Amino acid sequence: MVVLTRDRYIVFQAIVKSTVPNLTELKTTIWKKYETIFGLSGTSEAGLYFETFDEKNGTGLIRCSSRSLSSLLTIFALITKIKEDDVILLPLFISGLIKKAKAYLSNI
Amino acid sequence: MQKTKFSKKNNSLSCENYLAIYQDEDIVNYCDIANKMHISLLAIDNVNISQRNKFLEVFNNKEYSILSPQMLYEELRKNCFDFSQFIDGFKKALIHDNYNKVVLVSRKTFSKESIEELKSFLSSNRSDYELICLKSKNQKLLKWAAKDRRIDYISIDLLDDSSIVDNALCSLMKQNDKNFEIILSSLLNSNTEKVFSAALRNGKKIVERIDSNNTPMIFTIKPSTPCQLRTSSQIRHITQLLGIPYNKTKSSTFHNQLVRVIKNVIKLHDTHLFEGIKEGS
Repeated sequence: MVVLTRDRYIVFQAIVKSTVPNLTELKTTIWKKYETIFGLSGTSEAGLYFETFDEKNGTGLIRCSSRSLSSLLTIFALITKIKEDDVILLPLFISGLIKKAKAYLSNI
Repeated sequence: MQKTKFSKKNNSLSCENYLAIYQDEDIVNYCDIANKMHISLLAIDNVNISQRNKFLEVFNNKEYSILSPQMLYEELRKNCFDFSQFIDGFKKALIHDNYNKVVLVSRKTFSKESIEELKSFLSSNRSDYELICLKSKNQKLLKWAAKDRRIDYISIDLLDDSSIVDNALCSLMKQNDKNFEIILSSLLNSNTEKVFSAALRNGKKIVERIDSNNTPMIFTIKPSTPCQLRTSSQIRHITQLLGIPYNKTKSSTFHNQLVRVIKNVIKLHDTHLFEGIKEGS
């Protein structure tokens, strides 16, 4: 039996005190933290993909597999700093459809 | 009729039960972030009720309001006649107007080593705080505290010695309707992977023992900066690392804390005598 791997799209916001981190810094921090907690095989199974990230508002959209959604949300909760700056990665909306997630993102 | 987009609101409420604050300015920073994240209940350590009320008089912000639990209680007591109505009333009031309220609760965490010290502390300080928590490594003291009506929580850090939580203590806590307060800060603040894994390993042992006895527990982050505040959903995701399923911690991140605060507020501010806080001499 073929089991399809479904994707989940998470709209999130980076709440910061000073400057919003750029996409590269954000990617590096999430990947590193994921690898530390769940290992290399867990990271590869997660299928993380950064769809968009608006550096002005600090909002973004990230894709992961449905099975690793919970792990990714744990990682979001564990990240406290990006390059020495305090940050909160707050998940705002989760959807299985990219169209819906993008619509939510544009409404923020 | 056109469908309203994203009409389904997220009605989950969040609480931070242990804020260690050193300056008054910090309270505003914490409240700003808490309001952004819809964290409605903040328990501030080492701030007594009168200090908290003074701060509320000075505070002025148009975006959101900061309240004491007593203020909400006074509003609700006209319409609420039993305890469950009070709980619902508090929850509705906090969600109302897009979470623009932050309730500040005063709390005191103390660490004493003998029962006599603890008794004298409680008799003089109990009515100054809405929550009283104990942190100790003395097992005898913890067992005595588990039976005492004036103590609300027993705080345990993930890096504490796991042997202080034994089956007898868990059983006593359960009998006396008390919660363990598990502090998760070491998972967020650990600088090295060694400390993180030690906290995780030790934390799993503690939580497993508490859970096997079906003793209620609550989770708190004890943030050292405002950016370490976490919503109840995020705390529940972190606790999954400790081996507790997400669905099992539903009431451990807001409901249990709210129930304890309301109980104590009623005891402190009502004219009747109550067990634990206001007793007849």
